[in-house]
Amino acid sequence: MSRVTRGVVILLSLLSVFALSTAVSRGASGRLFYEWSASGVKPGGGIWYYSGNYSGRTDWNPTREANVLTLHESTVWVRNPTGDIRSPGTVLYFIHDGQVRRTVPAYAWSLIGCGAVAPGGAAFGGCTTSSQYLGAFDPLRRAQDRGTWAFLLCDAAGCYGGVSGDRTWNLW
Amino acid sequence: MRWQFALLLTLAGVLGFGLVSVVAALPGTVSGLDFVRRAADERRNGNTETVVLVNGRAITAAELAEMEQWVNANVSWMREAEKETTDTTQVALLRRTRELIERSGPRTVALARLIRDRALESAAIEHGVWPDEATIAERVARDRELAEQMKDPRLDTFVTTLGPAVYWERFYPGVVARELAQERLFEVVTGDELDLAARQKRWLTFERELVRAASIEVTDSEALGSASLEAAFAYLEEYWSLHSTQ
Repeated sequence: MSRVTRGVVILLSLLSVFALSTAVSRGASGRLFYEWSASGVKPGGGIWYYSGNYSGRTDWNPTREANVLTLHESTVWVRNPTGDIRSPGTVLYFIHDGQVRRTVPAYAWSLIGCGAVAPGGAAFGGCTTSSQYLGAFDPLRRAQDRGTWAFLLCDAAGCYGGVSGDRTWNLW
Repeated sequence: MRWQFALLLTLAGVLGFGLVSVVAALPGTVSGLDFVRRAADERRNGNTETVVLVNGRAITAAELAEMEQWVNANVSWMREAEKETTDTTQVALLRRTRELIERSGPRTVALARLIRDRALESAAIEHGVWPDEATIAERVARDRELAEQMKDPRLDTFVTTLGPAVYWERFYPGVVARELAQERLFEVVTGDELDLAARQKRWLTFERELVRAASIEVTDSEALGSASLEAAFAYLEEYWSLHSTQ
């Protein structure tokens, strides 16, 4: 084997190790979890209080540079004892490099697929109807997920409600 | 002279910005707080004479005046929320609800809400789901602990105006009793229905049947002011119809 060939083999080997390690590192997944709550006063002076969990999962496809297969799914649980919450009114944003790249509006949240009722009372859960809302993005740059939960409660005295804290999470 | 003018302009700008920031941060700027304060005042100082009886259960002049202020507070909140909500379905529901309330008048809406409340309360007693004292005390203690962690300006305003001791010891147990009764009744009536939209529809149908069948007597028609039973029923019919289809 000539010096040149030996050099090429060594170089290729090093490049392969580097590519493999890069692929493995890209094949990671991230999980997000937080508890949220919102509260306020009802007509007549009662207290309303709702809380729940947000959990998200992000998987990075190891084989593609432009990661179009990244998934992100979320589930929400809300205690709703008298059915007066009209909608969780959730809006999620995917922020990439300081810009809002994708928005998941309230109507994209659905009970389908996450619809079990929690034991011991009326509750509802929601999940994004499309798990691929992130779409293609640059996997080398950091991104954030941001969400706000806005509650719309209505009864015969009109509607009232509140908004949870605006939360931001680093995806990686 | 020119630099002095520029300095003055800069200082005025800084002062103006500071003032705007301070005003924006004041608790009084939260929408509808004045109405909440008035609601607490009506509750604290209002006339406790009976105005209407629903299945023998009283609605007092003070309760009617208080609820009118809550309705005003809600209208104010809805106006703000319409501007800030991004979901078009929710915006449409808010707008239609607000327009219905404004068309009917806040006092009529208050009367309607209280008639519906009293009808639900008597139904809860009939179904044997009215809570006992121990359950009420437990919920009051839980909510009191919870309220200490909450930062809601409307609740703060209401409790402060009414007085914390009055709110928690004399007022809140009654509120909790009615809410627990309603939650239990909701479970009795809709508990076997898994679909949430169907559940909501069934509950509103139940409310409608209860109110239509209720025995309602006006004991002081002058105290009703601009409200009337006919207008309250008309409002409720539109409310049930609107919220059953959304």
